[in-house]
Amino acid sequence: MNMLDALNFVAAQAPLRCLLWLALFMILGVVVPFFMTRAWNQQHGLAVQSHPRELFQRGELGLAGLWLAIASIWNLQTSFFVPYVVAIGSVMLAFSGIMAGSVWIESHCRQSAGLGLNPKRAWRDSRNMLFLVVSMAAVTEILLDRYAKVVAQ
Amino acid sequence: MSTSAVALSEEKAPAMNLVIRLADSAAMVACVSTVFALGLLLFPVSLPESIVRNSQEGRLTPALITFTLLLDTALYLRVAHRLSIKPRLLVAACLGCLPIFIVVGLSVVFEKAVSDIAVNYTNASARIAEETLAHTYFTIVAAIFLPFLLIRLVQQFNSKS
Repeated sequence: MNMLDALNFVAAQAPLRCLLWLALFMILGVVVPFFMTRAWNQQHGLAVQSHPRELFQRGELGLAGLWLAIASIWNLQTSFFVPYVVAIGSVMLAFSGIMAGSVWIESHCRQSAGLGLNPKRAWRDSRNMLFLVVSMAAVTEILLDRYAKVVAQ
Repeated sequence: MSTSAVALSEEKAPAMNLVIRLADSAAMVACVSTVFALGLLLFPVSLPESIVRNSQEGRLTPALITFTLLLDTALYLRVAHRLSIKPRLLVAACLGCLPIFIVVGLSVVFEKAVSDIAVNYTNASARIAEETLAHTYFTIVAAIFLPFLLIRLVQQFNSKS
């Protein structure tokens, strides 16, 4: 099996395609910033071992969740579902994305206003909200893929 | 204990409100979504078939109401237990009513939305099955997440006023 066949095989697998789509967001939005931090520390000779909890302690994961929600809403908008399903799906994804983004905004405002930021809580909230958006986006992509197959029949 | 000490302790321990954090309900919805996604991946034919069959026999809406009510109640009691705070009647009543309104309302709208698919499209039954699957999933998410979102917004509004 050459490279092209392998890619075609992967493209034909709906769950794999959904996982790849989600992995792209998670890698670029979460994993790459984490490794860039480690690389910067090493380059500058710092012995700081950064943990994702410290890197995203101001709720930045919520912002990644908002981007993912936007991409998922766009995919839903271009689907063949009836307008009701598109509307309810978009609204739910938008709510979860906005709430994920609000964790980052609240943390930023609290820090700016000197009201005292609780990094542990911001990390936990943003992680849970990102988990919500990722799982909702995964189900949405699976549903979209199933419907596209039905329409193609 | 003197009278002044009792009065001081009463002042220091006001009636605490159960503050719902969206992260708690988000984790619950995320777990339900993950189970739904795994169900679709592991049982791509039998799970949608059972949902569509229940929908055609009129059992889907009651099942969704029961499922979401149980999840909402379990989540609310879990948060109350974790914070060692007595559940409030108003919030419990809100959590009891909202999922029913959401599920029934969305089901009524869905019935009207898919009614023209059978007339206008080929392979209508397959399309309606996929629409029913999507409707079921988004209704579950809405019925679990929206009541907690509303309670959270009301609590924030009350704390400011």
